[in-house]
Amino acid sequence: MDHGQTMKLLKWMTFLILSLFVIIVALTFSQETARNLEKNFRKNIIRSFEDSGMPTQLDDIEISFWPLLIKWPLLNIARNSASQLPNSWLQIFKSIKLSNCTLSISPGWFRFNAELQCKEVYVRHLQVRWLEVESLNSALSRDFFFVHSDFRNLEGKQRWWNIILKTENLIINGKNISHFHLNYYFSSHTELVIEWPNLKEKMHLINEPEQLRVVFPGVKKNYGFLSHSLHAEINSLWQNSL
Amino acid sequence: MQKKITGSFLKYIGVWSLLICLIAVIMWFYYYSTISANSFWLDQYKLIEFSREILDGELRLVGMRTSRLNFNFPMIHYLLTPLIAITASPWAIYVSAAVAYMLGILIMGLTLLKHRPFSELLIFVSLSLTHVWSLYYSSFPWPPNYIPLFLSLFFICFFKYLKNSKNVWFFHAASVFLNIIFQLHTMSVVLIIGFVSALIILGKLPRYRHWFFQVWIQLILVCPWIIYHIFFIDWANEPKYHSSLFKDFLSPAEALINYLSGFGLTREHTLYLGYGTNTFPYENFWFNWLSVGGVLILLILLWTLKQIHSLQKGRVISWKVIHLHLLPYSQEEKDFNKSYPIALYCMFMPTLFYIFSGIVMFPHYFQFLTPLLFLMVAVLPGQLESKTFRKIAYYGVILFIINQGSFSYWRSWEEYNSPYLDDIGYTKVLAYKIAKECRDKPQIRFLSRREIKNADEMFHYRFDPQFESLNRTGTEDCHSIMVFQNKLLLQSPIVSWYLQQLEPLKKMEVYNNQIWITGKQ
Repeated sequence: MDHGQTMKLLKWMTFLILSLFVIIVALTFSQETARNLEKNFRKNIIRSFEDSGMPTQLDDIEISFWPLLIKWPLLNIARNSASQLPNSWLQIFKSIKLSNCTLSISPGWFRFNAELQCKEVYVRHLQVRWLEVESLNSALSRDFFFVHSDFRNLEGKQRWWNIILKTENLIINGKNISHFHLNYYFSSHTELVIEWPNLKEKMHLINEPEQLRVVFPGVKKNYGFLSHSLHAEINSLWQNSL
Repeated sequence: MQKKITGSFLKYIGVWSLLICLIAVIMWFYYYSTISANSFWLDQYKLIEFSREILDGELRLVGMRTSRLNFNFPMIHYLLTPLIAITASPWAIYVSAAVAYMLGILIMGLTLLKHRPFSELLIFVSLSLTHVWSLYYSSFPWPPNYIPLFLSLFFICFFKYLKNSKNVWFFHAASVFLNIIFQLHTMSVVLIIGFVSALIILGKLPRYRHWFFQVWIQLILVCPWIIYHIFFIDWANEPKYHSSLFKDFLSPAEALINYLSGFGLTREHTLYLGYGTNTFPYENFWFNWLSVGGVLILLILLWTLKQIHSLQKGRVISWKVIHLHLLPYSQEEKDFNKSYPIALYCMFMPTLFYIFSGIVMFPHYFQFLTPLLFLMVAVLPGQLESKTFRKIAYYGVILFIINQGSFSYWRSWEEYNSPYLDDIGYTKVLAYKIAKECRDKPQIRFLSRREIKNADEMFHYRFDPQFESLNRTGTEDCHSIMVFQNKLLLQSPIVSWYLQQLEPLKKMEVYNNQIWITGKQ
């Protein structure tokens, strides 16, 4: 291919890519596109939580493209049914209700930023009992174990997202916290970082073969959720020693 | 003249013998340590049992199910049937994968020695004897692990056809080998696309009657699978097949880099690895070292592609030109020094389709690149006119060979030094220890960082016959046995703490593994 031919090919390719881009942008202005996207978004959210045994209520979604915003009056995720793994660490959360929320998405450096701003967030969770192990300088969860695939799935879906959660009112098991602000992101395949910017605090959740290790920077003691089989073994040792 | 021919023949025999000795020594060292230290999963069990069924007259139309639950092709079971007819030992099947790999290197090496510069042979053999994943996969039986042998056979036939397109039977033989490769792992379908595009670009398409004849051969080879899906399958009871298309757009690139560099094998546990080598306490060192090798080979690969790309003639793309190229032997490239690298380039390029596919991929999906990748890298120095560039290319390739070889052979030493006792070659060691110590048949449990698992059916499939054949002299009521590597005590504080809570009846050590008789806890 000579120089002229190459230039011609390049021009055509540029033209095609630009045309495709223009078509996609034009489609985003159509009401029909937004309606279809709202329907799909709702279905996907409900299905993905229901697959994990959590019936979900999500109504009246509104999506706008410029800027990219998703709004809903109520998202209620409840854990009513019995799980196949009743003591998995995710079972700690029993229900989460997010009211009057706006999710805005914007591109950042190597990540997308998703900011979820809600009027009220209501969380109900079970209490976690810990067993102190002095020689390990750690506290291990007595009742809940860690499932690696849960962490891997979360990491697979949110690896490229920086999630910001802001709410005017957070109610955890009936206790009120106003102006709550939380960020979380994956710093690697095996580490999830959770930050509370207002409190200037951080927490690292580290996926290790034996456990999900919970580390607070500056604090020497760790917390851990053991893997399923180690938890069962160690639990039976505790039962025998009691 | 006679003297000259005798001299070159002797040189040829000399180099060939030396090569065989070198391959034999290095491979012996590698396989001696690694074959025994390989795990045995359901797939290996099925390979043996399905082939046995064929021997009993139950001809299979499909192979085992894939991880996506659809059926594989049955080719591998028919290929292994003669071996199963001779021996029922699972260990022999493990050796067969290594023998197939060595055979592939030898016959490909012989072809390179005959038709290509000596430097290409050296690079090809060195890469084949050091590449981390290729060596690893050649040490146990699994359908894709036999691809390198058939790909070598394919290339030999293809290159013979490139040299002399009049002998169209080499075209047919190459196509049949490609079909076998496709049946061993369907991801190698891109090689078929590469083969057809190489024939078109090089003007080597045979006459139409041969096209049709080959299409028939291909259909006959896959017809058992088609017949099963049309006439025998019970769709109502079929599980839902999974699709991994458009699921993860980073996965193919990550898997390709992993395949090129081998860094995935430094991890003890990853998907589809079962368990690899416990590289503790050097895990981070090897991971970083192999990652550097990955960047290096990627640069070498891109350089090779660029060089070969520039070999192609300047051509105008138009319908007329495309039509001309589809005609048999139209505008045929007769210079083998050009057609050979271009053919390799065409075979490789369709692999890049996967990068944009979003398919969830793993390193073993790229086994169809062994030995294509090695042949491509081997042609790079010969394509460079500048002496300085040639030197840089040689140094780059040598560095990569050192990078891969250092880990491969360290790994084989580590596997020899500290295997897992549920590995294929070590169940008899465990059986002997238990027969010597225990009066009963205890429950065996394997402890790792991730879990404590009871010995499963796949373990007992090998262990029970070995245990029954031993003279049991044990006097202890063992009840339960816990087995783990010595290094686990240093590697995991939690597991170490757990073990301190146990009060075993007896502690024994063999091959840097602990065997604890735990009794009733």
